[in-house]
Amino acid sequence: MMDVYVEFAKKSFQRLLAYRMSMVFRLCGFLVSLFVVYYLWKAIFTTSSVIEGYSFKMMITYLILSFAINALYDLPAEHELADKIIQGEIAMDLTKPIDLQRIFFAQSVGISINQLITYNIAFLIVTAFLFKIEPPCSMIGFVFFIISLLVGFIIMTAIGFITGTICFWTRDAWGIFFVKTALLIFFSGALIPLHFLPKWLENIAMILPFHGIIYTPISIYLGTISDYGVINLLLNQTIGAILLISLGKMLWYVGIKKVVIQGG
Amino acid sequence: MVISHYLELYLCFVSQHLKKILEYRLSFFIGIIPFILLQLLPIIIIWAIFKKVPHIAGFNFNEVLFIYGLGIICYAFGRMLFSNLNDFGYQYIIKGGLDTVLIKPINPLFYIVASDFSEKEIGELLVGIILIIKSIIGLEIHPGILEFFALLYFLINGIIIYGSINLIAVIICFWTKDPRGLTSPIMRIQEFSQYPVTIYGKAVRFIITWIIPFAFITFFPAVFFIRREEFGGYILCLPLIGIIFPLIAYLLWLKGLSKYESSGT
Repeated sequence: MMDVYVEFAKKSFQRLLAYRMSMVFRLCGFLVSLFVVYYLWKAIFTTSSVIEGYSFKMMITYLILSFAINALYDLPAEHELADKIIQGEIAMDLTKPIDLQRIFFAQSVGISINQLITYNIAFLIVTAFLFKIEPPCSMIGFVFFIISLLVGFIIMTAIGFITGTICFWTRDAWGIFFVKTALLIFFSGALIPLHFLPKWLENIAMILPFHGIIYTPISIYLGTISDYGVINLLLNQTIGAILLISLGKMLWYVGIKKVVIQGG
Repeated sequence: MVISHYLELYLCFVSQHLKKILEYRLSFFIGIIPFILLQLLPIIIIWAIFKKVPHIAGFNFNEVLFIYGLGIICYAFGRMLFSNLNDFGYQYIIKGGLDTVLIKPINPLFYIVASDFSEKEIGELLVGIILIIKSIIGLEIHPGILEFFALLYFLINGIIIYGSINLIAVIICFWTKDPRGLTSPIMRIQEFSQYPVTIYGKAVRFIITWIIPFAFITFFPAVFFIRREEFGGYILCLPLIGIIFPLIAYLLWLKGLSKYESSGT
Protein backbone atom coordinates (compact mmCIF):
# COMPACT_ATOMS: atom_id res chain seq x y z
CA MET A 1 0.00 0.00 0.00
CA MET A 2 2.86 2.35 0.84
CA ASP A 3 4.13 1.93 -2.74
CA VAL A 4 1.29 4.04 -4.04
CA TYR A 5 2.40 7.03 -2.01
CA VAL A 6 6.04 6.58 -2.98
CA GLU A 7 4.96 6.53 -6.61
CA PHE A 8 3.10 9.82 -6.18
CA ALA A 9 6.19 11.36 -4.59
CA LYS A 10 8.34 10.19 -7.52
CA LYS A 11 5.95 11.60 -10.12
CA SER A 12 5.92 15.02 -8.50
CA PHE A 13 9.68 14.94 -8.37
CA GLN A 14 10.06 14.18 -12.07
CA ARG A 15 7.52 16.67 -13.29
CA LEU A 16 9.47 19.60 -11.91
CA LEU A 17 12.70 18.62 -13.66
CA ALA A 18 11.26 20.05 -16.86
CA TYR A 19 11.75 23.60 -15.65
CA ARG A 20 15.48 23.79 -15.09
CA MET A 21 16.05 27.15 -16.79
CA SER A 22 13.39 28.88 -14.74
CA MET A 23 15.18 27.51 -11.68
CA VAL A 24 18.30 29.43 -12.63
CA PHE A 25 16.33 32.65 -13.05
CA ARG A 26 14.60 32.01 -9.77
CA LEU A 27 17.99 31.62 -8.12
CA CYS A 28 19.09 34.97 -9.56
CA GLY A 29 15.92 36.60 -8.26
CA PHE A 30 16.46 35.23 -4.77
CA LEU A 31 20.06 36.42 -4.79
CA VAL A 32 18.95 39.95 -5.68
CA SER A 33 16.52 40.00 -2.77
CA LEU A 34 19.17 38.57 -0.50
CA PHE A 35 21.62 41.31 -1.44
CA VAL A 36 19.01 43.95 -0.65
CA VAL A 37 18.43 42.67 2.87
CA TYR A 38 22.16 42.08 3.31
CA TYR A 39 22.95 45.75 2.71
CA LEU A 40 19.95 46.88 4.70
CA TRP A 41 21.05 44.95 7.77
CA LYS A 42 24.64 45.98 7.26
CA ALA A 43 23.54 49.61 7.53
CA ILE A 44 21.38 48.81 10.54
CA PHE A 45 24.24 47.10 12.34
CA THR A 46 26.52 50.13 11.97
CA THR A 47 24.66 51.74 14.86
CA SER A 48 25.43 48.87 17.25
CA SER A 49 27.24 45.57 16.79
CA VAL A 50 24.69 43.45 18.67
CA ILE A 51 20.93 44.01 18.45
CA GLU A 52 18.56 41.86 20.50
CA GLY A 53 21.27 39.22 20.94
CA TYR A 54 21.99 39.02 17.20
CA SER A 55 25.29 39.92 15.60
CA PHE A 56 25.40 40.96 11.93
CA LYS A 57 26.80 37.58 10.93
CA MET A 58 24.03 35.78 12.80
CA MET A 59 21.43 37.94 11.11
CA ILE A 60 22.79 37.15 7.65
CA THR A 61 22.88 33.46 8.50
CA TYR A 62 19.28 33.74 9.67
CA LEU A 63 18.18 35.38 6.44
CA ILE A 64 20.05 32.96 4.17
CA LEU A 65 18.56 29.95 5.95
CA SER A 66 15.17 31.61 5.84
CA PHE A 67 15.44 32.12 2.08
CA ALA A 68 16.59 28.54 1.63
CA ILE A 69 13.74 27.09 3.69
CA ASN A 70 11.24 29.35 1.98
CA ALA A 71 12.28 28.12 -1.44
CA LEU A 72 12.07 24.54 -0.29
CA TYR A 73 8.43 24.94 0.59
CA ASP A 74 7.08 26.10 -2.73
CA LEU A 75 4.17 23.71 -2.91
CA PRO A 76 2.39 23.38 -6.25
CA ALA A 77 0.53 20.43 -4.70
CA GLU A 78 -1.90 22.72 -2.89
CA HIS A 79 -2.85 24.57 -6.07
CA GLU A 80 -3.48 21.26 -7.73
CA LEU A 81 -5.70 20.13 -4.86
CA ALA A 82 -7.60 23.41 -4.95
CA ASP A 83 -8.10 23.14 -8.73
CA LYS A 84 -9.38 19.61 -8.39
CA ILE A 85 -11.86 20.64 -5.73
CA ILE A 86 -13.10 23.68 -7.59
CA GLN A 87 -13.44 21.92 -10.91
CA GLY A 88 -15.00 18.86 -9.38
CA GLU A 89 -12.35 16.41 -10.54
CA ILE A 90 -12.00 15.45 -6.91
CA ALA A 91 -14.95 13.11 -7.43
CA MET A 92 -12.68 10.77 -9.38
CA ASP A 93 -10.17 10.60 -6.54
CA LEU A 94 -12.89 9.98 -4.00
CA THR A 95 -13.78 6.74 -5.73
CA LYS A 96 -10.25 5.40 -5.27
CA PRO A 97 -9.15 3.57 -2.14
CA ILE A 98 -6.52 6.13 -1.19
CA ASP A 99 -6.10 8.71 1.56
CA LEU A 100 -5.85 12.07 -0.18
CA GLN A 101 -4.15 13.76 2.73
CA ARG A 102 -1.35 11.20 2.53
CA ILE A 103 -1.17 11.59 -1.24
CA PHE A 104 -0.87 15.32 -0.72
CA PHE A 105 1.94 14.77 1.75
CA ALA A 106 3.71 12.35 -0.58
CA GLN A 107 3.52 14.82 -3.46
CA SER A 108 4.92 17.58 -1.28
CA VAL A 109 7.80 15.35 -0.23
CA GLY A 110 8.60 14.64 -3.87
CA ILE A 111 8.50 18.30 -4.82
CA SER A 112 10.62 19.36 -1.86
CA ILE A 113 13.28 16.73 -2.49
CA ASN A 114 13.43 17.93 -6.06
CA GLN A 115 13.80 21.55 -4.91
CA LEU A 116 16.48 20.50 -2.45
CA ILE A 117 18.57 18.82 -5.12
CA THR A 118 18.08 21.20 -8.03
CA TYR A 119 17.86 24.46 -6.20
CA ASN A 120 18.60 24.65 -2.48
CA ILE A 121 22.01 23.05 -2.64
CA ALA A 122 23.04 25.43 -5.42
CA PHE A 123 21.66 28.35 -3.43
CA LEU A 124 23.56 27.38 -0.28
CA ILE A 125 26.82 26.83 -2.15
CA VAL A 126 26.56 30.19 -3.92
CA THR A 127 25.67 32.05 -0.74
CA ALA A 128 28.43 30.32 1.22
CA PHE A 129 30.87 31.79 -1.29
CA LEU A 130 29.32 35.26 -1.24
CA PHE A 131 28.62 35.73 2.45
CA LYS A 132 30.16 34.77 5.77
CA ILE A 133 27.81 32.30 7.41
CA GLU A 134 27.71 31.29 11.05
CA PRO A 135 28.19 27.51 11.59
CA PRO A 136 25.59 25.67 13.68
CA CYS A 137 25.91 26.46 17.40
CA SER A 138 26.77 22.85 18.30
CA MET A 139 26.60 19.32 16.94
CA ILE A 140 23.53 18.51 19.01
CA GLY A 141 22.06 21.85 18.02
CA PHE A 142 22.44 20.86 14.38
CA VAL A 143 20.66 17.55 14.96
CA PHE A 144 17.78 19.37 16.67
CA PHE A 145 17.76 21.86 13.79
CA ILE A 146 17.22 19.04 11.28
CA ILE A 147 14.47 17.51 13.43
CA SER A 148 12.81 20.88 13.82
CA LEU A 149 13.06 21.46 10.08
CA LEU A 150 11.31 18.17 9.36
CA VAL A 151 8.51 18.93 11.82
CA GLY A 152 8.31 22.36 10.21
CA PHE A 153 7.86 20.66 6.85
CA ILE A 154 4.95 18.64 8.23
CA ILE A 155 3.39 21.84 9.60
CA MET A 156 3.81 23.55 6.25
CA THR A 157 2.25 20.65 4.37
CA ALA A 158 -0.63 20.39 6.84
CA ILE A 159 -1.35 24.10 6.39
CA GLY A 160 -1.18 23.64 2.62
CA PHE A 161 -3.70 20.84 2.82
CA ILE A 162 -6.03 22.95 4.96
CA THR A 163 -5.87 25.90 2.55
CA GLY A 164 -6.62 23.56 -0.33
CA THR A 165 -9.54 22.04 1.55
CA ILE A 166 -11.05 25.43 2.39
CA CYS A 167 -11.80 25.70 -1.35
CA PHE A 168 -14.74 23.35 -0.72
CA TRP A 169 -16.39 26.39 0.84
CA THR A 170 -14.89 29.37 -0.96
CA ARG A 171 -14.90 27.85 -4.46
CA ASP A 172 -12.10 30.28 -5.24
CA ALA A 173 -8.47 29.50 -4.57
CA TRP A 174 -6.71 32.74 -5.35
CA GLY A 175 -7.73 34.87 -2.38
CA ILE A 176 -7.30 32.16 0.19
CA PHE A 177 -3.79 31.33 -1.03
CA PHE A 178 -2.81 34.95 -1.05
CA VAL A 179 -3.95 35.46 2.54
CA LYS A 180 -2.20 32.27 3.58
CA THR A 181 1.03 33.42 1.93
CA ALA A 182 0.87 36.79 3.68
CA LEU A 183 0.27 35.20 7.08
CA LEU A 184 2.96 32.65 6.45
CA ILE A 185 5.61 35.13 5.35
CA PHE A 186 4.99 37.35 8.32
CA PHE A 187 4.34 34.98 11.20
CA SER A 188 6.87 32.33 10.23
CA GLY A 189 9.65 34.87 10.70
CA ALA A 190 10.70 34.65 7.06
CA LEU A 191 11.56 38.37 6.86
CA ILE A 192 12.86 39.06 10.34
CA PRO A 193 13.53 37.03 13.51
CA LEU A 194 10.25 37.14 15.43
CA HIS A 195 12.20 38.30 18.46
CA PHE A 196 12.69 41.63 16.69
CA LEU A 197 8.97 42.33 16.63
CA PRO A 198 7.30 44.29 19.43
CA LYS A 199 6.50 42.01 22.37
CA TRP A 200 2.77 41.71 21.72
CA LEU A 201 3.30 40.79 18.07
CA GLU A 202 5.95 38.26 19.03
CA ASN A 203 3.50 36.69 21.48
CA ILE A 204 0.83 36.38 18.81
CA ALA A 205 3.37 34.84 16.44
CA MET A 206 4.43 32.27 19.01
CA ILE A 207 0.82 31.17 19.55
CA LEU A 208 0.21 30.67 15.83
CA PRO A 209 1.76 27.55 14.26
CA PHE A 210 3.71 29.36 11.52
CA HIS A 211 6.83 30.03 13.61
CA GLY A 212 7.58 26.29 13.51
CA ILE A 213 8.37 26.54 9.81
CA ILE A 214 11.22 29.06 9.81
CA TYR A 215 11.84 30.91 13.07
CA THR A 216 12.06 27.89 15.37
CA PRO A 217 14.45 25.75 13.29
CA ILE A 218 16.80 28.67 12.63
CA SER A 219 16.77 29.79 16.26
CA ILE A 220 17.81 26.27 17.21
CA TYR A 221 20.55 26.34 14.56
CA LEU A 222 21.91 29.66 15.85
CA GLY A 223 21.55 28.66 19.48
CA THR A 224 19.69 31.79 20.51
CA ILE A 225 17.49 29.72 22.83
CA SER A 226 18.48 27.86 26.00
CA ASP A 227 18.57 24.02 25.98
CA TYR A 228 15.39 23.91 27.99
CA GLY A 229 13.76 26.26 25.50
CA VAL A 230 14.75 24.00 22.59
CA ILE A 231 12.89 21.00 24.02
CA ASN A 232 9.95 23.25 24.72
CA LEU A 233 9.88 24.56 21.18
CA LEU A 234 10.18 21.11 19.63
CA LEU A 235 7.24 19.95 21.73
CA ASN A 236 5.30 23.05 20.77
CA GLN A 237 6.04 22.34 17.09
CA THR A 238 5.03 18.69 17.32
CA ILE A 239 1.73 19.47 19.02
CA GLY A 240 1.09 22.14 16.40
CA ALA A 241 1.75 19.65 13.61
CA ILE A 242 -0.61 17.04 15.11
CA LEU A 243 -3.35 19.62 15.62
CA LEU A 244 -3.02 20.90 12.06
CA ILE A 245 -3.11 17.41 10.56
CA SER A 246 -6.22 16.61 12.59
CA LEU A 247 -7.83 19.87 11.61
CA GLY A 248 -7.08 19.09 7.97
CA LYS A 249 -8.64 15.65 8.28
CA MET A 250 -11.72 17.07 9.94
CA LEU A 251 -12.20 19.80 7.34
CA TRP A 252 -11.70 17.23 4.62
CA TYR A 253 -14.46 14.94 5.91
CA VAL A 254 -16.87 17.81 6.36
CA GLY A 255 -15.84 19.19 2.98
CA ILE A 256 -16.42 16.09 0.89
CA LYS A 257 -19.98 15.91 2.21
CA LYS A 258 -20.47 19.34 0.73
CA VAL A 259 -18.87 18.51 -2.58
CA VAL A 260 -20.75 19.91 -5.52
CA ILE A 261 -19.95 18.45 -8.88
CA GLN A 262 -20.72 20.76 -11.74
CA GLY A 263 -21.70 18.85 -14.81
CA GLY A 264 -19.12 16.33 -15.94
CA MET B 1 -3.43 65.08 -35.22
CA VAL B 2 -1.75 61.78 -34.45
CA ILE B 3 -1.34 62.44 -30.75
CA SER B 4 -4.95 63.36 -30.13
CA HIS B 5 -6.01 60.30 -32.11
CA TYR B 6 -3.88 58.06 -29.87
CA LEU B 7 -5.12 59.81 -26.75
CA GLU B 8 -8.67 59.18 -27.82
CA LEU B 9 -7.87 55.53 -28.46
CA TYR B 10 -6.25 55.19 -25.07
CA LEU B 11 -9.25 56.65 -23.29
CA CYS B 12 -11.37 54.21 -25.22
CA PHE B 13 -9.31 51.26 -23.99
CA VAL B 14 -9.41 52.55 -20.43
CA SER B 15 -13.15 53.09 -20.40
CA GLN B 16 -13.70 49.57 -21.73
CA HIS B 17 -11.62 48.23 -18.92
CA LEU B 18 -13.39 50.33 -16.30
CA LYS B 19 -16.72 48.99 -17.46
CA LYS B 20 -15.40 45.50 -16.89
CA ILE B 21 -14.34 46.37 -13.35
CA LEU B 22 -17.64 48.02 -12.50
CA GLU B 23 -19.42 44.90 -13.63
CA TYR B 24 -17.65 42.92 -10.90
CA ARG B 25 -17.41 45.55 -8.19
CA LEU B 26 -17.43 43.22 -5.21
CA SER B 27 -14.79 40.87 -6.49
CA PHE B 28 -12.69 43.91 -7.34
CA PHE B 29 -12.78 45.17 -3.75
CA ILE B 30 -12.12 41.74 -2.31
CA GLY B 31 -9.37 41.25 -4.83
CA ILE B 32 -7.32 44.26 -3.76
CA ILE B 33 -7.29 43.40 -0.05
CA PRO B 34 -4.61 40.70 -0.27
CA PHE B 35 -2.34 43.10 -2.19
CA ILE B 36 -2.72 45.69 0.56
CA LEU B 37 -1.95 43.03 3.14
CA LEU B 38 1.16 41.85 1.35
CA GLN B 39 2.37 45.42 0.84
CA LEU B 40 1.97 46.17 4.55
CA LEU B 41 4.33 43.39 5.65
CA PRO B 42 7.64 45.07 4.78
CA ILE B 43 6.35 48.30 6.32
CA ILE B 44 5.66 46.55 9.61
CA ILE B 45 9.19 45.14 9.43
CA ILE B 46 10.67 48.61 8.83
CA TRP B 47 8.61 49.94 11.72
CA ALA B 48 9.82 47.12 14.00
CA ILE B 49 13.45 47.77 13.01
CA PHE B 50 13.15 51.46 13.84
CA LYS B 51 11.98 50.48 17.33
CA LYS B 52 15.49 49.06 17.82
CA VAL B 53 17.67 51.58 15.96
CA PRO B 54 17.27 55.37 15.58
CA HIS B 55 18.34 55.59 11.93
CA ILE B 56 19.55 53.59 8.93
CA ALA B 57 22.58 55.15 7.21
CA GLY B 58 21.50 58.53 8.57
CA PHE B 59 17.90 58.25 7.40
CA ASN B 60 15.19 58.33 10.03
CA PHE B 61 11.91 56.42 10.02
CA ASN B 62 9.86 59.06 8.21
CA GLU B 63 12.51 59.55 5.53
CA VAL B 64 12.73 55.84 4.83
CA LEU B 65 8.93 55.73 4.71
CA PHE B 66 8.92 58.52 2.14
CA ILE B 67 11.37 56.67 -0.12
CA TYR B 68 9.49 53.42 0.33
CA GLY B 69 6.12 55.05 -0.24
CA LEU B 70 7.23 56.80 -3.42
CA GLY B 71 8.58 53.45 -4.61
CA ILE B 72 5.26 51.74 -3.99
CA ILE B 73 3.35 54.42 -5.89
CA CYS B 74 5.66 54.49 -8.92
CA TYR B 75 5.95 50.73 -9.20
CA ALA B 76 2.25 50.14 -8.64
CA PHE B 77 1.44 52.66 -11.38
CA GLY B 78 4.07 51.09 -13.60
CA ARG B 79 2.66 47.61 -13.16
CA MET B 80 -0.86 48.91 -13.76
CA LEU B 81 -0.04 50.64 -17.03
CA PHE B 82 2.43 48.14 -18.43
CA SER B 83 0.75 44.96 -17.25
CA ASN B 84 0.46 43.65 -20.80
CA LEU B 85 4.24 43.47 -21.06
CA ASN B 86 4.33 40.64 -18.52
CA ASP B 87 2.83 38.23 -20.94
CA PHE B 88 4.53 39.72 -23.94
CA GLY B 89 7.16 37.04 -24.48
CA TYR B 90 4.72 34.18 -24.38
CA GLN B 91 1.58 35.66 -25.91
CA TYR B 92 3.10 37.82 -28.61
CA ILE B 93 6.41 36.28 -29.56
CA ILE B 94 6.25 32.57 -28.80
CA LYS B 95 2.59 32.13 -29.69
CA GLY B 96 2.83 34.66 -32.49
CA GLY B 97 0.17 37.03 -31.18
CA LEU B 98 2.22 39.87 -32.60
CA ASP B 99 0.87 39.01 -36.06
CA THR B 100 -2.59 40.25 -35.20
CA VAL B 101 -1.13 43.45 -33.76
CA LEU B 102 1.07 44.20 -36.77
CA ILE B 103 -1.85 44.26 -39.18
CA LYS B 104 -3.67 46.92 -37.16
CA PRO B 105 -3.32 50.48 -38.44
CA ILE B 106 -1.76 51.79 -35.25
CA ASN B 107 1.63 51.73 -33.62
CA PRO B 108 2.06 48.12 -32.40
CA LEU B 109 3.88 49.09 -29.22
CA PHE B 110 1.14 51.53 -28.34
CA TYR B 111 -1.48 48.87 -28.93
CA ILE B 112 0.27 46.30 -26.76
CA VAL B 113 0.79 48.69 -23.86
CA ALA B 114 -2.60 50.39 -24.10
CA SER B 115 -4.89 47.48 -24.79
CA ASP B 116 -4.74 46.15 -21.27
CA PHE B 117 -4.14 47.42 -17.81
CA SER B 118 -4.28 45.92 -14.39
CA GLU B 119 -6.41 47.38 -11.61
CA LYS B 120 -5.25 45.12 -8.78
CA GLU B 121 -2.57 47.60 -7.78
CA ILE B 122 -5.04 50.26 -6.67
CA GLY B 123 -4.79 48.99 -3.11
CA GLU B 124 -1.02 49.34 -3.20
CA LEU B 125 -1.36 52.87 -4.52
CA LEU B 126 -3.50 53.70 -1.52
CA VAL B 127 -0.88 52.28 0.83
CA GLY B 128 1.82 54.33 -0.91
CA ILE B 129 -0.19 57.55 -0.71
CA ILE B 130 -0.89 57.03 2.99
CA LEU B 131 2.81 56.41 3.63
CA ILE B 132 3.80 59.60 1.82
CA ILE B 133 1.25 61.67 3.72
CA LYS B 134 2.32 60.14 7.00
CA SER B 135 5.97 60.89 6.38
CA ILE B 136 5.29 64.43 5.15
CA ILE B 137 3.47 65.12 8.42
CA GLY B 138 6.20 63.38 10.43
CA LEU B 139 8.99 65.30 8.71
CA GLU B 140 7.13 68.60 9.04
CA ILE B 141 7.58 69.40 5.38
CA HIS B 142 5.10 72.01 4.27
CA PRO B 143 4.56 71.27 0.62
CA GLY B 144 3.53 74.20 -1.53
CA ILE B 145 2.28 74.31 -5.11
CA LEU B 146 5.87 73.96 -6.40
CA GLU B 147 6.42 70.75 -4.47
CA PHE B 148 3.11 69.40 -5.66
CA PHE B 149 4.04 69.86 -9.30
CA ALA B 150 7.54 68.54 -8.65
CA LEU B 151 6.05 65.39 -7.16
CA LEU B 152 3.73 65.03 -10.11
CA TYR B 153 6.63 65.40 -12.52
CA PHE B 154 8.76 62.90 -10.60
CA LEU B 155 5.91 60.43 -10.70
CA ILE B 156 5.39 60.72 -14.44
CA ASN B 157 9.11 60.59 -15.09
CA GLY B 158 9.41 57.57 -12.80
CA ILE B 159 6.63 55.72 -14.56
CA ILE B 160 8.23 56.41 -17.94
CA ILE B 161 11.60 55.12 -16.73
CA TYR B 162 9.92 52.08 -15.23
CA GLY B 163 8.11 51.34 -18.47
CA SER B 164 11.34 51.69 -20.46
CA ILE B 165 13.25 49.30 -18.22
CA ASN B 166 10.37 46.85 -18.33
CA LEU B 167 10.22 47.07 -22.11
CA ILE B 168 13.96 46.52 -22.51
CA ALA B 169 13.81 43.51 -20.19
CA VAL B 170 10.93 42.06 -22.15
CA ILE B 171 12.12 42.59 -25.72
CA ILE B 172 15.31 40.67 -25.05
CA CYS B 173 12.90 37.82 -25.73
CA PHE B 174 13.05 38.64 -29.47
CA TRP B 175 16.58 37.28 -29.41
CA THR B 176 16.47 34.65 -26.67
CA LYS B 177 13.01 33.26 -27.54
CA ASP B 178 12.58 32.51 -23.86
CA PRO B 179 9.17 33.77 -22.71
CA ARG B 180 10.01 34.72 -19.13
CA GLY B 181 13.69 35.13 -19.65
CA LEU B 182 15.49 37.90 -17.91
CA THR B 183 12.40 39.88 -17.02
CA SER B 184 11.99 38.78 -13.45
CA PRO B 185 15.64 39.04 -12.37
CA ILE B 186 15.91 42.50 -13.95
CA MET B 187 12.64 43.78 -12.53
CA ARG B 188 13.54 42.39 -9.16
CA ILE B 189 16.46 44.81 -8.98
CA GLN B 190 13.88 47.47 -8.18
CA GLU B 191 13.90 46.12 -4.62
CA PHE B 192 17.25 47.85 -4.21
CA SER B 193 15.70 51.22 -4.90
CA GLN B 194 13.15 51.01 -2.11
CA TYR B 195 15.74 51.92 0.51
CA PRO B 196 18.31 54.75 0.64
CA VAL B 197 20.95 53.98 -2.00
CA THR B 198 23.66 55.11 0.40
CA ILE B 199 23.45 51.77 2.20
CA TYR B 200 24.79 49.87 -0.82
CA GLY B 201 28.31 49.19 -2.03
CA LYS B 202 29.73 51.13 -4.99
CA ALA B 203 28.92 48.49 -7.60
CA VAL B 204 25.26 48.17 -6.65
CA ARG B 205 24.90 51.93 -6.45
CA PHE B 206 26.38 52.34 -9.91
CA ILE B 207 24.11 49.70 -11.40
CA ILE B 208 20.86 51.06 -9.98
CA THR B 209 21.83 54.62 -10.85
CA TRP B 210 23.25 54.39 -14.36
CA ILE B 211 22.66 50.91 -15.83
CA ILE B 212 19.19 49.98 -14.61
CA PRO B 213 18.23 53.37 -13.22
CA PHE B 214 15.66 52.41 -10.60
CA ALA B 215 17.24 54.90 -8.18
CA PHE B 216 15.95 57.70 -10.41
CA ILE B 217 12.42 56.47 -9.87
CA THR B 218 12.47 56.49 -6.08
CA PHE B 219 15.52 57.61 -4.18
CA PHE B 220 16.70 60.75 -5.98
CA PRO B 221 13.23 62.29 -6.30
CA ALA B 222 12.51 61.43 -2.66
CA VAL B 223 15.74 63.05 -1.56
CA PHE B 224 14.63 66.26 -3.28
CA PHE B 225 11.86 66.49 -0.71
CA ILE B 226 13.60 65.31 2.39
CA ARG B 227 17.07 66.92 2.04
CA ARG B 228 17.32 69.29 -0.82
CA GLU B 229 21.02 70.07 -0.52
CA GLU B 230 22.35 66.52 -1.06
CA PHE B 231 22.33 64.72 -4.38
CA GLY B 232 21.37 67.91 -6.23
CA GLY B 233 23.40 66.86 -9.28
CA TYR B 234 21.45 63.66 -9.65
CA ILE B 235 18.15 65.51 -9.66
CA LEU B 236 19.44 67.57 -12.58
CA CYS B 237 20.15 64.30 -14.44
CA LEU B 238 16.59 63.14 -13.86
CA PRO B 239 14.98 64.65 -16.98
CA LEU B 240 17.85 63.33 -19.09
CA ILE B 241 17.36 59.78 -17.85
CA GLY B 242 13.66 60.19 -18.48
CA ILE B 243 14.38 60.92 -22.14
CA ILE B 244 17.37 58.69 -22.88
CA PHE B 245 15.96 55.46 -21.50
CA PRO B 246 12.64 55.53 -23.36
CA LEU B 247 14.65 56.30 -26.51
CA ILE B 248 16.96 53.33 -26.03
CA ALA B 249 13.95 51.14 -25.29
CA TYR B 250 12.15 52.25 -28.42
CA LEU B 251 15.17 51.77 -30.67
CA LEU B 252 15.68 48.28 -29.23
CA TRP B 253 12.01 47.59 -29.80
CA LEU B 254 12.31 48.54 -33.48
CA LYS B 255 15.39 46.38 -33.82
CA GLY B 256 13.65 43.48 -32.12
CA LEU B 257 10.62 43.91 -34.34
CA SER B 258 12.78 43.59 -37.45
CA LYS B 259 14.06 40.30 -36.05
CA TYR B 260 10.56 39.02 -35.46
CA GLU B 261 9.42 36.10 -37.51
CA SER B 262 5.96 34.74 -37.00
CA SER B 263 5.66 31.39 -35.31
CA GLY B 264 3.37 30.36 -38.15
CA THR B 265 0.40 29.40 -36.05
